[in-house]
Amino acid sequence: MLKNIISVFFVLLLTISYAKADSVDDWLAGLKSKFSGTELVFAMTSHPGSDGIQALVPEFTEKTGIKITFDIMGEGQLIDKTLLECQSEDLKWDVIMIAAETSPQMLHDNCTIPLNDYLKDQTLAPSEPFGMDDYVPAYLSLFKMEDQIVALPFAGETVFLTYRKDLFDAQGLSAPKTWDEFLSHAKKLKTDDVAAVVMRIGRGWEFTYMWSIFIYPFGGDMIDLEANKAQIDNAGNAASLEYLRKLLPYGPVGFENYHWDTSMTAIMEGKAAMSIEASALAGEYENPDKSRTAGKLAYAPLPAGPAGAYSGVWGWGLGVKKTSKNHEAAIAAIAYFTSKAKHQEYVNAGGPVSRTHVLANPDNQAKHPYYQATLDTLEQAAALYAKGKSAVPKTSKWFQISDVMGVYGSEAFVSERTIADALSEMNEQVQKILDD
Amino acid sequence: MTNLQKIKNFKRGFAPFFAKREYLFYIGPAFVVTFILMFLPLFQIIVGSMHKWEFGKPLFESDFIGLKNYIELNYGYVSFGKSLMKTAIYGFGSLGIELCLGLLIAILLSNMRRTKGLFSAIFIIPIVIMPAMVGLTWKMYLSYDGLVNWVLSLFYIPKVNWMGTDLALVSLILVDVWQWTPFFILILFAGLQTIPKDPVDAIRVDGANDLQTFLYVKLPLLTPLIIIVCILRIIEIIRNFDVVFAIYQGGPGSSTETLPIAVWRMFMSQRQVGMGSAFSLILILLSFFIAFIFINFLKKTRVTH
Repeated sequence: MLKNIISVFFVLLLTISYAKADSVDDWLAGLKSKFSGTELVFAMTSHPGSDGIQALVPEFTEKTGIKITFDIMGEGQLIDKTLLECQSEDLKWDVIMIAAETSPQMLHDNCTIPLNDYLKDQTLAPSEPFGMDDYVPAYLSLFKMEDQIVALPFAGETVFLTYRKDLFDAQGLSAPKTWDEFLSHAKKLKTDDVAAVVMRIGRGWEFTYMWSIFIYPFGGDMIDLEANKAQIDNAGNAASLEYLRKLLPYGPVGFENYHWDTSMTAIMEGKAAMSIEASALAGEYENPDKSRTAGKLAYAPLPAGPAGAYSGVWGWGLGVKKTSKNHEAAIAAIAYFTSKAKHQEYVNAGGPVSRTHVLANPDNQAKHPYYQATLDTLEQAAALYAKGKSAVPKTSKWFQISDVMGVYGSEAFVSERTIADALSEMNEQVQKILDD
Repeated sequence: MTNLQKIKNFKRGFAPFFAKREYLFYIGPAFVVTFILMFLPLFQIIVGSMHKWEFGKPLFESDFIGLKNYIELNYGYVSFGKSLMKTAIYGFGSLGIELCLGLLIAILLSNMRRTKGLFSAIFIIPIVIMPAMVGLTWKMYLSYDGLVNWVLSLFYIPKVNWMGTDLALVSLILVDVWQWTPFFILILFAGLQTIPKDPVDAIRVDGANDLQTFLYVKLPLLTPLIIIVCILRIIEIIRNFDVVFAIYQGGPGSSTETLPIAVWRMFMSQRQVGMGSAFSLILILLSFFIAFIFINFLKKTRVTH
């Protein structure tokens, strides 16, 4: 009896896996008949997500005949070039890697096309292997503007706490539950060789990225989108900036000029005890070929401030350039690369997880110690979203606003200005941008 | 009018004009190319600076706002005054050190007999490195555990935070001095080689020592060259973007927000092409103004000679 049950189980398993493989192959065969010989150019930045996508390309090209070339550049360069030249037909890109912060602008400036109607076409994105409902909802919502899908998420990220287990154990510490506790941990963990805390805090958008994590837990706010009003000059924001200033002595020397890459390097080289950084970097931390601290790190959701515990979501998506002559082939390609069927393979190649079934898989959770913290932090981001707030307000002017906040905020952080002066100036300038 | 008459009229009208001014045929093409490449963009910058011109919007569709962009230069969130001050400190700080150091090393080099060629070859290396590469390399050197602090530690000097607000501008001067002092050395060394022997011999016969020979003969003869090198460098420093951006991106705070960084932020982050054009135009005028002062000084020194 047991033998029969086991046999039936295996037959079923084989049938399911065959059917799955078959449906992906059918999808690719359909694309081959339609688009074979098409050449697509993907504009991307150096990122673990780009590595993951590139790992999927050989099979895709072999089975569809669609050739893909990558134009890889620095993050700032990609964003600048995209915003500057996106409407130009001379820029021969078909697919653009779009930062969540710039996606409202992409649509507003007519740089990319809405994907909704194309994604209904079963030859381009068949429901099952593609799996629209399987994206982490918060990541997909980053690229949805008034129900129009600007891009498909493939490298979603949230911000969580990373800490060194060995250093915490030596001090008898556990993951901090509040920001006050975090500060008190920082005081204990700082040594001449190891900084207590690292995070991206250099001026500009990176400062705003990090500050937005602290704004809401301290009762602050940024913009009232409905009233089109800047709400930056408030006590909560002042408290959050004051708190960041308190962290400054416990960061590494030169902390005020730290960016995401320096922050990541500090953790990987074992020069920092705690990090508040993007979840997308955790795969690099845990790569023993690259990181000295692989296996020594633990992850936790963000501590709570006086007004609660909140995080945010950011990330990258793949959108299709409006001036591309290959809209359908490009959409089919990005649907494939971000599909449910290929996501595990993409994650295995180093791509940051963006789909629910991979994140919730117990095997994956055991293999990737940061998956649980990612899920917990996504709940913190959902709690913020439930309040009608977000770390990345959906306005086409966010890129300008975040730069203003990031410059004045950085000036206040390094005490070039008083916090009150910085917030007042920031409010005035942001309101100007909103009114324009 | 018959064709013959037309030709005769042309001969009477334009032909004699061009016959007397043959040079116009030779400089004409170069003038047209220069006009298209230089003056048209400059004209666009001037017109753009008087419009509320934003990215994605054609200039002719933007609102004319007169001199508003210039009036608001100092009151927007990118302050022209502060940026100008930082550019001046960076520019004149670098120039002063490079000139003194360059002149000193050029004199030492001119007194060497054998290894001049070797040193000249070594000195050219920093000049030919890409500015962005210089920035990225020095970002590592200036880190707390980097090369600069290691060198300081050899002299028992405590480590310094070069990436902090206090020393960020000093670090930029240091990088510029490293990269561009060799330029002064090479040019001034070449200049020293061309100084005629007669006046030097004459002042020696009169009993002048080395210092007096340098101050009263060599330095005055070298002054035109020094001015030309200074003009080239100051214009280059005023528009230096790559190195500053690669190391500091204008931060921490706004401690390294020089004029080119401010212009970049106006264009790229704020998408205010009109305001960015106003910044750019002032930057161009500033370069002209400084070059004008130096050139005037150059003329005076020639008259004196």
